[in-house]
Amino acid sequence: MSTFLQQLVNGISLGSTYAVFAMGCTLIFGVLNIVNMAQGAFFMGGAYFGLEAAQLGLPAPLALVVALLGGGLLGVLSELVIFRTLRARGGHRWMGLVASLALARMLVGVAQEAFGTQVQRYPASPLLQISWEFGGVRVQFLQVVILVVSLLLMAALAFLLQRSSVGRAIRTVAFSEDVARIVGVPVGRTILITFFLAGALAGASGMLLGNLFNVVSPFMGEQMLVKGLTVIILGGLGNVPGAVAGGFLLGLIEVFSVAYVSSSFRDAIGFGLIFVILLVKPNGLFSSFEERRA
Amino acid sequence: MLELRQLCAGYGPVDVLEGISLTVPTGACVCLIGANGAGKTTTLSTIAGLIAPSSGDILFEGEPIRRVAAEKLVQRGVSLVPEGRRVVSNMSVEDNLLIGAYTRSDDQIGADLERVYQRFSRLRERRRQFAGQMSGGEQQMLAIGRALMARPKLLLLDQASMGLAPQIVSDIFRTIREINNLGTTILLVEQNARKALSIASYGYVLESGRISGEGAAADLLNSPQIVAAYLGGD
Repeated sequence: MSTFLQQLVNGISLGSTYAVFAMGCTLIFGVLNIVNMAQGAFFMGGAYFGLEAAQLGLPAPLALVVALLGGGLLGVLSELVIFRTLRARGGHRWMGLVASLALARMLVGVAQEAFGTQVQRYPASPLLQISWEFGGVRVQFLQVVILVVSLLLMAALAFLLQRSSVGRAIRTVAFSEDVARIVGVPVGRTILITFFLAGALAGASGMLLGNLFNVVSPFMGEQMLVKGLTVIILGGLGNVPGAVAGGFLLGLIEVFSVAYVSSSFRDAIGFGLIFVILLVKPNGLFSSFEERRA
Repeated sequence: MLELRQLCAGYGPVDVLEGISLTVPTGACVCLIGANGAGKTTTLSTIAGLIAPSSGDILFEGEPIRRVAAEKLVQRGVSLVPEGRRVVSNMSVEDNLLIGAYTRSDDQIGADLERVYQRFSRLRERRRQFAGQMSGGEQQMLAIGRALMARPKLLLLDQASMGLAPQIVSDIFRTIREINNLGTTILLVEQNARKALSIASYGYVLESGRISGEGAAADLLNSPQIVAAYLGGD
């Protein structure tokens, strides 16, 4: 029983970082109908932005803000340099997919040059290392912080999308660019904001996961990208609440398969899920007519 | 308020509209009737800025607007109620109305929302529902309400009666008339020519991308050619 509860705790904090990352991926898909393959690189970039800030002596909350803004900046640049240019030339959306993959490789290369291929770690924080035990279940303060930060980011995004004028504009562009234009929504600017949000979420999740595993490397984004894709398929493409649920689900599945099956099968089980879900529920586990799009 | 001069426009290299000229005076309700494929929707889409004209001019309040983007036109007072309604199906009714006021920053948005709800009480009852769950008539009311939320000077209505039950069609036309009486200039495009001419003051007939006839609505309703071609026997 305590193994089960322990894995539950671990899975929830891990899953919350997946959820934050996947929200960004699904937001881009909902608005532009493309998969941005550079989201993983933004995730890695965010981890390094946060790391650099922390090494400069900034307190962790401020370093997280730096990771968030840094990721957002990468998102904005990718839209301005790549996606917008391709759209203006009437490029097919496969071109965006390939171009974003190329961008991801370039960013990994830049990170290798700038920070080296060695794994780096966040400066040790005595506060975050505190942990408590409840009947054989160990809960780290770090895990609690990660969960709380993730939940705050989810709430902030939900509020923005559901309650603000910008959120309504994003949802309208996701529905139809022409409809957005006839109600006066500037489509280009709204897409740019979407890229900022997606990049910021990726950057924040990079710093969170970098702290959870205490590992930052130029290659950390590649696996995360595949996980992000798994989660948004689980949750239904473009479905933000689905991405949150899917993120927690994948985190729990991974942790439990390590605990009860074998760590060798962690990814096999996680990614095997995509296949099963595509067979059973092609629109995602939480698909319904109303919620399919951001 | 609106003037088209020798307007040509279409999709790709082929023009659907081959030199359309028409005038919509301030405060008027003008209708454009014509058969399927005559270019009615293309005309409205071009005025609204969704399609770039290949030649000719569009004047709104005396200023050329053919190069003004759709989203800027909304700010200047041109709102389109598009064919097929196009409400955002996965957004609530209230959010659909609020997005209509996107370009505004004044403090009257809440009051205008209340006004739309007073006009269409069904929308108030369903304001938390997804727009996609409503009937066609309710969606049409929502599409009109959304356009009104921008406080348009000129309202473009593209086949607002399409696919609706006769009772609902009458309601919609009565509403259009009321909106016009409150001072909004209207250009409506219709296949339901009889209804359209009954609320309009002036009408144009569009045939294969050209204006083939025009006149006071009452005269068109009595013209033998118009009756034969567009009004049928009923």
